[in-house]
Amino acid sequence: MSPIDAYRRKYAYAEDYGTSYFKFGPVAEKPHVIENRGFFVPKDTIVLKVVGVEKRIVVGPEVAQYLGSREDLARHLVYPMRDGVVDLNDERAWRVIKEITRYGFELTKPSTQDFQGFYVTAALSAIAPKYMYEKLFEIHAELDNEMGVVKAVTIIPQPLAVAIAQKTLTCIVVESGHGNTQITPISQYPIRKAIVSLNRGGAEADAITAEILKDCGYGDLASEEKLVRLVKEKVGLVPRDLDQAIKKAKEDPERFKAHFRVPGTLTEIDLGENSWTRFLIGEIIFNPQHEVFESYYRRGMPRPRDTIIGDERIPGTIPLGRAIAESANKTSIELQPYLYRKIILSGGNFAWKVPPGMEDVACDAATKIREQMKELGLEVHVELTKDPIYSVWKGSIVYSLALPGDYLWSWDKMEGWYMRGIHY
Amino acid sequence: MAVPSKLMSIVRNYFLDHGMEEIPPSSLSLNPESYLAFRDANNILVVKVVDAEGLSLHKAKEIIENSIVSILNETVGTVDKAYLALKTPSLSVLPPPSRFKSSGIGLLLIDDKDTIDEKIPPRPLRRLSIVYSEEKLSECIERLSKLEEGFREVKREISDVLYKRIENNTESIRNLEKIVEDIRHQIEKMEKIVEHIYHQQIERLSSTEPPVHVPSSTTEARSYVDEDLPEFARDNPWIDTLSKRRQT
Repeated sequence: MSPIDAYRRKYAYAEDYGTSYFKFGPVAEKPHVIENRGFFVPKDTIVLKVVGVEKRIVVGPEVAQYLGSREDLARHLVYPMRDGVVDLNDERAWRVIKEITRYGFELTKPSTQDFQGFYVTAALSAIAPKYMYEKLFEIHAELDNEMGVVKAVTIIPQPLAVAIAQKTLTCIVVESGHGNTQITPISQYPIRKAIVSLNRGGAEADAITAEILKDCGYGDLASEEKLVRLVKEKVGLVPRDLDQAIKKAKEDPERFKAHFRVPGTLTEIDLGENSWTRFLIGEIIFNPQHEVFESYYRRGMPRPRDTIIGDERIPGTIPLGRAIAESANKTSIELQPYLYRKIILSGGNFAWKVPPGMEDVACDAATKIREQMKELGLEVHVELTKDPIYSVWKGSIVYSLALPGDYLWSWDKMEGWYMRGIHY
Repeated sequence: MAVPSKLMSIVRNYFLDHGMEEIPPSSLSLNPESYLAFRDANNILVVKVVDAEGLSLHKAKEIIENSIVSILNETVGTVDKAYLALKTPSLSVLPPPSRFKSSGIGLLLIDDKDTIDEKIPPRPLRRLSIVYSEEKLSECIERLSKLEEGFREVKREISDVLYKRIENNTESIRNLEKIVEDIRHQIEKMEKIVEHIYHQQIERLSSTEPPVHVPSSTTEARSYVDEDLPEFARDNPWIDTLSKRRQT
C-alpha cells in the first residue's frame, strides 16, 4: 500500500528558508524562488501614497521597484536571516519572514473545492535555535487563520532535506552557504549532537576576492558586492594543491591569466601578473588556515570565528576535510564507515568549475574534499548534489509527501506534524 | 553760407504742418546748415534754404543758380523731391521758371511775413527701385543654395528614418507572424499529444480494471501517484522510511 495518500499528493508543500533566497511551492519539478528580503515602505513617502501603494512591507520581485538610494536600502530593505538564523527579538526580520511565507501561499493557493490546506514542510538551517521553530509554527498558524492554507506544518533541518533529495539514508551532508557551513551526519535521522557548524562560507571567498581586486588596482569595484561575487564565480579556482598551483601560475602567467569583462558594461578586470591569486578564492573555502592567508588577515580581512560546541572549540580556519572528520568522530564507531561512504556537498558555495586545460592544477569541490580526507588517511566517497539550488526544497517536498498524517510534532524528537485543530 | 535758424525753422514748420517727418540731412550726406530733409511715406524730400536778402542782384542770382546746381549734384539718386526755399526781396533775382521745371526742383518763396508759397512744384527726381550690390546678391544666392541643400539633406534623412522604421516594422511583423505560426504548431502538437494520452489512459484503465474485485481508493491512488510523482520523489527510500515514523 502506498504511504502517500491522494490528498498529500496534491497538496504537499515545501519551504526552504535560505539566507539569500526563499524557495517554496507545492509538488512540482521546481519551486518558486524569491529573494529572502522585504522592503518596509516608509510611511511618509508621498509619491507612494499618490500612486496608491498601501502595503507596509513589500516582498518578492516587486521589491526591485522600490529600491532607491543606498541610504534607502540600508534603512528600509531588510534581509531577515544571517547565516540562516533570525534573531529572536528582531521584529522587522520576523515580519519579513511572515510576509514571504504569505507571498508563497497567495501565489500557489489552489482554488479547488477539496483543498483544506497544505501539508507544509519548512526547512531551516541545522543550527537554527528552538525559538525559530516556535516562531515559524506561530507564523504558519496565523496565516492559516487568515487564509486557511496550512492544514499541518513541520520543520526539518536543511541537511536532512538534502539527504532526502539525494535518496540517501546514511551520509554526511555538508551544506555551505554564504555565511556558514554545516556538517550534518545523517542516518535516517539527523544526528544533531554531531552537527558541526563552521562560521565561514561564500562570504570568505567574497572577502578575499575583494582584497585581490584592491591589490590589482580595482579598489573602486571592491565595494560592489554583486560584482565581487561575479568575479569570484568567473575567476576563482579551487587548487588541488595551493603551493603547487601558485608555483605553476607564477611560472606561466599567460596560461593562468584571469581576464574578465563584466557583462553589459565596459568594465574589464585583468588580474595580470597577480593571476595566481585566483587560486586563493577557492582555497579559502576549504583551507583558510593556509599561511598565504595570514597577510590578508593582518590587513583586516576577517578571520573566520571559532565554533564552540560544549567544552570543545573548533577553530574557524580548520580545513573542511578535517571538520568533516571531527563531525563523523562524534557518531558511533560502527556508523562512521557508512557515513564516509557518502559525503554530499550541497549549496552554491561548492559549485566550482575547472576550466579546460587546467585539470592538473584545479579541481572541483568533491575532489578537493576527497584529497583533504585522503591526507587524513580516510578513503571517502564525495559527491555534489545533483541540484544544489533546489535540493533542500525537493527533500522537503518528499518529507511532506511521506510523513504520516497522524504523526504529531514532538519537541523531544523535533519532528512530526504541527497540526490544525490540535496545536493551533 | 549759413542760413538764419529762424528761416530754417519757418521752412521746417511748413513741412511738418504738411504731415511730414523730419530726418537728419546728414543721413543723406547733406549739410544740415543749409538743408532740411523730410520723409513722406516712402518718399524722401529735401529743401535747400537760401537767404538772398541783403545781397546784390548779381550775387543773389549767382547763389540761386549755384544752389540749383548743388541740389542736383548733392541729391541725385538719393531723394525723391527737392525744393529750393528762397527768401528774397525781389523776384528779379530768380532764374526763368523753365530752369526749375527742367531740373525738377520745386520753388518755395518766403515773403516778409514769413509765409511760404509754393511757386513751382517739384518733379520726382528718382524712380523707386531697390538696388543691391553684386556682392550682396551673391551672398543671398549662396545662402539660398545652402538652404536648399539643407532642405534636401533633411528630406533625405527623414526618408532614411522612415524607410528604416518601415523596414524594422516589417521585420517585426514577420517575426511576430513566425512566432504566431510556431505557437499554432505547438498548440496543434499539444492537442494531438493530449488526445493521445487521453486515449491511452482510457485504454489502460479499461484493461487494468479487475473483473470482479474493486481496488481500494488507496491502491488506486498509489498506482496513479507513484507514476506521476516528480523524479526526485520516485523510488526514494525515504518515502518508506519516513512513512514508518510513529508516535512512541
